[in-house]
Amino acid sequence: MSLFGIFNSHRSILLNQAAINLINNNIANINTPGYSKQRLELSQQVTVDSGVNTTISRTQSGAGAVIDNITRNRDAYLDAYFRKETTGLSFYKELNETASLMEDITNELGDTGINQALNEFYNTAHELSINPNDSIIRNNLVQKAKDLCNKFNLTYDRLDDLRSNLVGDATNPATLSTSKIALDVNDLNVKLSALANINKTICDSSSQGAPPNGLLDQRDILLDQIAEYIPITVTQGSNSLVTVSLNGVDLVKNKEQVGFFNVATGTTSDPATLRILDEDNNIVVANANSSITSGKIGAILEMGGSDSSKLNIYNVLTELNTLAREFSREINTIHQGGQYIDTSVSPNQLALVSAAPFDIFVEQDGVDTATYADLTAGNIKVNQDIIDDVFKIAAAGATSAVNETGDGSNALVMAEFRNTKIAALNSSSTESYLNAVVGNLGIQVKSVQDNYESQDTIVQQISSKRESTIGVNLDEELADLIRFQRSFEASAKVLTVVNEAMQRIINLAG
Amino acid sequence: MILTRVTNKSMSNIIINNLLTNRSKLYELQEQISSGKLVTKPSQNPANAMSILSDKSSLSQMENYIKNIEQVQSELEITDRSILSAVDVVHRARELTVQASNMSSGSNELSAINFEVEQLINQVKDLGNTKYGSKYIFGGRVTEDAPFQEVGTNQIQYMGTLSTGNYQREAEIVQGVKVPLNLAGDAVFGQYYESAPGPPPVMTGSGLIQTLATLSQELQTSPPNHDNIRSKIGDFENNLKTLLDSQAQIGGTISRLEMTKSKIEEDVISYTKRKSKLEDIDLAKAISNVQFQETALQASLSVGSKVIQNSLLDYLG
Repeated sequence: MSLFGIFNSHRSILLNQAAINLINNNIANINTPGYSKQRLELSQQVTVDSGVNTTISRTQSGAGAVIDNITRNRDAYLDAYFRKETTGLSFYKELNETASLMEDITNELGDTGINQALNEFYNTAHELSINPNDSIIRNNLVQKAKDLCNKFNLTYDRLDDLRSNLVGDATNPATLSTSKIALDVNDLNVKLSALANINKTICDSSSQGAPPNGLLDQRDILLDQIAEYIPITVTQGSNSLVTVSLNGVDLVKNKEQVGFFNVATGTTSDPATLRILDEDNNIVVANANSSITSGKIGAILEMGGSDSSKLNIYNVLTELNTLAREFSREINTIHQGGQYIDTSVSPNQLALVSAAPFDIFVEQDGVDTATYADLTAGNIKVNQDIIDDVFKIAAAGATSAVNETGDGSNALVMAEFRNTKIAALNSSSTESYLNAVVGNLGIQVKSVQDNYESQDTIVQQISSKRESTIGVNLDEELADLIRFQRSFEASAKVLTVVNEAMQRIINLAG
Repeated sequence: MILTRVTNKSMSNIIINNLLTNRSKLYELQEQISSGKLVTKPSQNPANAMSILSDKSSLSQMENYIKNIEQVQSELEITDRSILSAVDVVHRARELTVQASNMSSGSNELSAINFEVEQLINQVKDLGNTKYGSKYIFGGRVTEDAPFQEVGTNQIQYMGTLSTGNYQREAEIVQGVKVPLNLAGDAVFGQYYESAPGPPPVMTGSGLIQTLATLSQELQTSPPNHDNIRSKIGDFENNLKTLLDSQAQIGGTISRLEMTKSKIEEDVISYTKRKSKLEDIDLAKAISNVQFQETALQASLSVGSKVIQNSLLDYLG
């Protein structure tokens, strides 16, 4: 009999205490986001050579239990899977957000859209064809033309604002710094540098032998967050370090952030260029846009970009511009083929527009619109000459005599233009072209929504699968608590017994 | 049986997700009921949205056609009424001619008759200058100025677009179909004026006005030539025929417009019906869906509250 029994019990008591502490920690963190349940790795204490060559020690050779490690419940495969799908989810989430804003802006189902204004313009032109001399109808037509331009301008401006909020406006580089892409890239850089720091701390504490479970959890949270921005590859290195890379370009390596994201002003069609720099601001990747096809940043780049096969603001703007351009080109051409009422002479006379050409729809700055290259939905407006004198609308045909002001045949041609199919508008009429634009947008928005929903389901499933691995189950902890409580009591009991036995022996000696 | 480790957090996550799903479905239904629309955004049903959009433009176009047809109709009715009045003039003029051609009519009687004929000429001139709103309807494409002008005693010249020229004003009543909404005044009422100074002055004329003006000349001739006066009866017959033809033409257009209008009105009804089917909610269905969804929400709530409460903690002393 030695004091060994007492040590043994003492260790057992400490071990059970540690176990109870761990349970305590698990229960305390039951609602902490990203916390992974920790458990004790126990093993037998094996004594290779007790030094005392007795039968008992040789056969028993046990010296209680020891804590090998405190490990986290974690599944690396699930983590990687979760991150990959999170990247997809935040991609669709961001797409969906912008897409539904676009849909709100271009919604033609209400009574206030461009289509309604177009419709009313044609209707009023039709009325004018019956009463070409009526100044009220002429005023009305000018009003409808102004409404139409306003609707075009408003829709264009709102879409353009949405775009410049996302990726800035190439013609106004100052907008880039306050754009969503710049802010998100800043956040991403902050997270990457935090990751490098945490890598360093983990490395330091691992070298001291303490298992940095809390830090590992924090790093996993950071990795989850980084995965929301861009599609990353995480490689586990030595010393519990991780390397994060994007398409083979390292961003965080060991204890250092080696790739820094930076946004530069691009072109009108792609206003933001994402670059990767090294710590000395040397360019590593001059244009990373094409490699970021997923994640929040990927979604912003896609929505702000100009890929004609994808849903983005640029395409809708282009379609609106085409409509505004073709509409004004055709109406102006019809207008120039007619005669207006010259009220400067008495009695009023018809005069050919072509004699001194002027248009109904012009650009904002009044530049000659002969080529219509610069006319957009954003700057289309009604010619001020026509607003000032509504009789300048050419309602009469070119062949009418100067006193035949009752001729409305040119106004009728304008009204009938609504049914004319224009080659530049995909061989459809102005109204059906717009309907197709809105309808296609609806289809694309729906597909984004559907993708978002199904991606959300996938992430929920993986998340709950992951949660079932890393999460804390109260029942389990309570059962463990009782287990270790009993074990603690038993160890204490053993200690008492050993103590009593020792006392007996000491008394014998006394 | 495979045991899955279910943690408290994943349990509450599932409950929260289910509640959110149920609530968002309920919200969607509520939105539908309060707006009365099945589709408020194209993405909710892109195919239907596109049909709704095209139906909307068609409807607006059709309603505009109806509006225009009604306007054209009332203009044509005024035209019709003017011609009808002209017919009365012809009847009266013929009576007067018969009276004047009577051998016993003396110069006093004839000058009294002539006085009335001159009144009739003015009346025809006024009929020819009938306005609809602010426009003269018989002037062809010249609608701002009175087409029939008195250029001398019993001389009425037509200043509008001649019936030989492009006098027609047209209105589109359905896509691609145009109807003329006017008649040339010279073809209906004729004219009579001095086209070149004499002597002898060259007189140009046609139609009712010419007949009336030449009748007036005959009535003033002394001694009266009763045969010449009598010959005007045949002229009036021809004038009457012209007027009745014009009237038939206008009447035909009016009834054609009426038919077109009722056809468009039928189309409006069927388009509205179709659009409503795509766009508007079925209230009964929506409300029963709401009730169904409410039950589902209640169920998730009560299951959730039960499941989340239970743990070993409840049974430990």
